[in-house]
Amino acid sequence: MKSIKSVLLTLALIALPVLIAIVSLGCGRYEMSMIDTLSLIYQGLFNSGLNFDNTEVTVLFNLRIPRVILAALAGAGLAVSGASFQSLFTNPLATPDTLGVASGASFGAVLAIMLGFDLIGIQILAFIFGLLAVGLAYQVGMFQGKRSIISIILAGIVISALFGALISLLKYLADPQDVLPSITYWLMGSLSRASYPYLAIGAPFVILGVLTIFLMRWKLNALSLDEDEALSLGINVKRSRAIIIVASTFVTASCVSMCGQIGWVGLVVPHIARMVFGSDNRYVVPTSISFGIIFMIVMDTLSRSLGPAELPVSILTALIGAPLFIILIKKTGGNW
Amino acid sequence: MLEVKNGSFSFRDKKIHEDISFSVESSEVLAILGPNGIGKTTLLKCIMGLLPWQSGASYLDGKNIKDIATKAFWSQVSYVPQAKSLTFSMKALDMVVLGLVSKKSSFAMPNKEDFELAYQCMQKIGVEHLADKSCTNMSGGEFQMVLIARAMINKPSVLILDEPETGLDFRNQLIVLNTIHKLAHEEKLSVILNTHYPTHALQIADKSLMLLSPGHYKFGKSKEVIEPELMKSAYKVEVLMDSVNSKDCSYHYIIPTATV
Repeated sequence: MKSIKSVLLTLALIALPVLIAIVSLGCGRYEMSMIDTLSLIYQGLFNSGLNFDNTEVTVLFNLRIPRVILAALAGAGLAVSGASFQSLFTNPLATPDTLGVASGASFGAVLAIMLGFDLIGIQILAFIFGLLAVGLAYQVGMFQGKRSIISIILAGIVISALFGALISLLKYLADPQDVLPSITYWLMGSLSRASYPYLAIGAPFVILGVLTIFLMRWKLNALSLDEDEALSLGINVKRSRAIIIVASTFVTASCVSMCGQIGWVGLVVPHIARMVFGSDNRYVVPTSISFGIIFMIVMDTLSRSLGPAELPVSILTALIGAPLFIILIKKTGGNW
Repeated sequence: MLEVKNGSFSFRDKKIHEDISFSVESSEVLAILGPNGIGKTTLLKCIMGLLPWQSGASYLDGKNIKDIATKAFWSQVSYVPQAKSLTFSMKALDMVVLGLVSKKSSFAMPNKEDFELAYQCMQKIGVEHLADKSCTNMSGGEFQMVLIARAMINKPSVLILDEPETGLDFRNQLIVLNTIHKLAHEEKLSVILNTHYPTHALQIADKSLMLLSPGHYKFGKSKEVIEPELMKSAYKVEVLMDSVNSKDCSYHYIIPTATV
């Protein structure tokens, strides 16, 4: 009985995001039916004869598919790194940005925009600075020869504030006519920059990072205990912790470098997953991947089809994520 | 057998333990006693190598624990820390099976046999009815028993517990103490436990180690260590000690009467 139930749940966790993705591909100012979408994808996969003069084909293959892939990557990535940080730091309020990766990456992007880099250049510089910020936090977080979780978090907050100040400085120096608006727009977060070259650079880091955390999800349960307790279970705590932090950082740095800052996904989605299947990371991690993909695709679909102009997706994730989080806390009493 | 020879430990130039030596054989219980802040938990951590001895060493079956690989050491030694509440809930059975986490390869998940083993462990100490209960909804006594079950899943030869009965009511104290006593003899374990209750040491511990003041201690048979003069020098209290007999059993009681 139990195994049938778990097979059905697994199927649902896989099928739902796929279904949402297909529906999303048809949504937008240029509407397509689900059958049209599917038959075009079928053609694209199995017959090479696609006519790119056709608007439908261009919209689907050059705009919407990369965009939905990006939404899926960002949703899964941010949700999983949020879940892993919450466990690792034994803190339900931890987010993917707790160690300053998003501030670092944003600074890199702003710097690249001011230097006049193209989209790919911005992405790469953002990624590098995201890693740099966490590397710094990890180094600074060593007090008296010991690197405790609380000292790493403190260092992360400090580094985050530092890069926040540097971003403000760059914005202050930026040309208010054209550079400042593009900085502001970039920081707000958007999936509209999605393209295949963009994904080719960013996706491998997200996929590898998510896969690493997915494989280590049982160990994550042990890492959420006291350090001495985890050590006494025979775990190499230092190494496992470092692996999780590196994996999450690669995921988040890559997500931010592709989409800008998108809040609330990494906080809200893992908690929804916990509400449904409990706090065991063996379930939290896969469920967060699935729910993260669904949440992000839905948000992005709304952002590009709600109004006449595209609404920055981070506004939507906050407008919907924040009240959702409050409802969750009220319902569960913050007891996961 | 676990043995400490000439162990010394200081923290920020403050001496905590100096030249301390003792041993626990299998099927034997050692109780560590002493006033608040004297370094009982620190001593446990030094014994297990979670904190480094500045001189001296711990030996497991005659071998310096520094020369034993981490995983091999922790498959023989199990530690039950002071129970504190969890941030994220976990079912008791999942908590017990976590004891196997380092026995499996890096990316492995627990399988059916592992869960069966975990369930048997819970059965052995009589808490299998808690298997599906969330650890965050448990009483302190129940949670302590779950942690003991987790410690037993690797069939260790040494069990180390930090104040296992602190904060529990009479009934739960008895359950925990009897379980520890029973495990020590049935599984031929060497048990070391910290306690604030000298009567508990008299009840289940073959040997006791009383920390008197930094650098001073008394180690020996429980009945020799737990006596009014030493109690006075360790806890700075006058005590009345006696025993009563009931149903062929002798029960000790100790009443603190005045501070010194």
